Amino acid sequence: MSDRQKIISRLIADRDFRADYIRAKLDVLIPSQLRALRMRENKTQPELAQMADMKQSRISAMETPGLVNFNRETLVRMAATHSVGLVIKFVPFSEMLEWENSYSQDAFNVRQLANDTNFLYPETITVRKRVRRKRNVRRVLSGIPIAQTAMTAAAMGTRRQYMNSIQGERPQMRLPFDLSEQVAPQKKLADVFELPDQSGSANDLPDLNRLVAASAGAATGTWGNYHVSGR
Amino acid sequence: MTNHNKVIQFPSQVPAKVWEFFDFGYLPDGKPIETWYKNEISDRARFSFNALIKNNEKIANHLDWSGPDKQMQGELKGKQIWQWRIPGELPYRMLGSFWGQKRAVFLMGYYHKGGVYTPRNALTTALDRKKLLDQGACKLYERQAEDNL
Repeated sequence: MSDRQKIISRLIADRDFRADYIRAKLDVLIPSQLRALRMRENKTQPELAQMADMKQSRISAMETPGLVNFNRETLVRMAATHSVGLVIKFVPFSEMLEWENSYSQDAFNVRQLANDTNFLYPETITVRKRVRRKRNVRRVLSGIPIAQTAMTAAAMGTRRQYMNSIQGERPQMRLPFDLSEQVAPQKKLADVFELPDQSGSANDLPDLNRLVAASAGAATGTWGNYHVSGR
Repeated sequence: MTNHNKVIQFPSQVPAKVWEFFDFGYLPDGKPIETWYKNEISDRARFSFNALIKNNEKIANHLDWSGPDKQMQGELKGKQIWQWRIPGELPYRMLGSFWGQKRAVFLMGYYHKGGVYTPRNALTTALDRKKLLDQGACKLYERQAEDNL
C-alpha cells in the first residue's frame, strides 16, 4: 500500500485526521491570500492596519501561517477592508485539493468592488448573455439534426423559434378528445333568474337587457312579476 | 513556437513551479529530514509542511513566501539560514538555506517551546549541515509537494 493510499484510508476512517487535513490547508492558504491581497494594493502592513482599524502586529500575524485562529468576523472585516467579497462554503475534498493546486499567491487577484462591472452593471451582462444565447440558438438550429434540437432549443427558452423552424416536420398531434364535442359550460338562466311558472304569457317575459345589466351588476331587484337575484 | 509574437498562450490550469526544494542527506544514505517528517511531527504539521511547500514553490520572490518566521540571529543569519514556521499543535520549525538558482535545501527540523529546542542541538546541527552543504559533502533528496494530497 502506497503512502497516499494509507493517508486516504486514514482520511476515510478518522475524523480528527480529516480535521487536521482541512486545518492545514486553511492555515496556509488564508494567510497567503491576505498577503496577496495586500500586495496587489501595494499597501504596507501599517497602511493596511490603519485601513482595517487594527494593529500592524495583528496584520503581520494574520499573514503568518498558523499564528491566528481566524473567526468569521475577522475574515469579513478583512474582506471589507480590501473591498472584495468572501465565500465560505463546504466542498468535496477533491474541490479543496483542486483549489490548493491551482492557487498561486503571485497570480491571485480579486477584482475590487469599484472595478467589478459584473456587480455594478449587471444589466449590461444580461443583454450580452441574451445576444450570446440567440447566437448559440442559430448555431444549434442550423447545424444539428432536428431530433437533437428539441431539448437544446427548449432549454434555451427559444420555444417559438424552435417551433417555427420545425413547423413543416412536426407530426400531427392527436388530442384524446374532440374539441367540437365539448360544449362550453353555460350558466342556465334558471340559476340566475327565478322564472315564473310556465303558464304565463309572452308579455310576462322580462326585458332581457335589463336583466343582463342587473346580473352584471350583481344587483337584486324585482321587475314586474320577476325577482332577479345577483350571483 | 511559444516565442512567436502571434501565439497567445492560454493560462495553464496549474501554476508553474518556480522553486525546487531538497532535503539534506548525510553520506552515504542518511535521510534526517525524511525521518523527522515521517516520525517526529504530528499529522497536522505534516499536512501543513506539505501545504507550505505547495504554496511557496509557486512564489517567485522568496521574500513573499508564507511561513518564514523571523530574522535569524547570530551565526545562523551570517550563514543565510532561514526558518519556516510550520503550523501544528507544537511550534514546529524548519531551518533551510538557498542552494543555487531557485533552489532551497531543508537542513533541520525541530520544535521550539519555552526556550527549549527539541532536539537540543538543533541550531548547531543546522550550522554543521550548512557547512557540509557548502563543501558538497552531502546528498540532496528532492522534496516534492504531494499534488494529490
